[in-house]
Amino acid sequence: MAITVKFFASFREVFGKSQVSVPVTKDVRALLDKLVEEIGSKLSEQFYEPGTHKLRDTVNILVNGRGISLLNGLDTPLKDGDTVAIFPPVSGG
Amino acid sequence: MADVGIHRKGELDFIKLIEKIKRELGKEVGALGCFVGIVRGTSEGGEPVKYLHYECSEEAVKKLERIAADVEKRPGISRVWIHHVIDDLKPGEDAIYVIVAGGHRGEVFAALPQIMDRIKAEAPIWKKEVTKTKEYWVQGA
Repeated sequence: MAITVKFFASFREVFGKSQVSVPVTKDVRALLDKLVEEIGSKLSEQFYEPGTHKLRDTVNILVNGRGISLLNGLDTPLKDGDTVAIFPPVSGG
Repeated sequence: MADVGIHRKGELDFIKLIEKIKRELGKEVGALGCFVGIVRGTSEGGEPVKYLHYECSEEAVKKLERIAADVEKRPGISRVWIHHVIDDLKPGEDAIYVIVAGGHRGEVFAALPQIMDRIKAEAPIWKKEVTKTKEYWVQGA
């Protein structure tokens, strides 16, 4: 029972890996809590507005290719086999 | 059909690409518009740039295909090519080529900035600017 988490750009640098497999959590919020628990304040600062648990506008999260803003936000449930991608705003060109 | 790609530095020769495109043009084409994105030598803060580091997700090609295909559906547009270089690129080096072929210059000129705006907003590609004193991920530019 695991989910795959992929990190890109600044999140990959802070996490130190581009991809990890973690035990299934109830929802996206619980997944972020678990990741912060593992990495510490550096990741927390990237995820949340200072002193709050509010996700920064610059954090993009996809669950199986769909943005969580189109799903249930941080309450989006997760299940075995899901892929979660976490990345900052894109900047190609 | 749209022609897109993600390349490492040195894999793509711009002149050869243009020559290939010209050989493939249909008889309806009367205009070929081209945008070349080049690494600037000065950062927003005015510091000399050492290089830009580009990276992308595996979805990047699909997204470029979608953008190119959408524009190819427009009246007056025949074909679109989008080729992005993902690597460490120094000032003066080419980062992206967008080429549009169409019947007349109006449609072709109009398509170029629209394609670039969509790439900058939608394609899962990121760049980090590295100067002498700092490095930071560029956001939405």
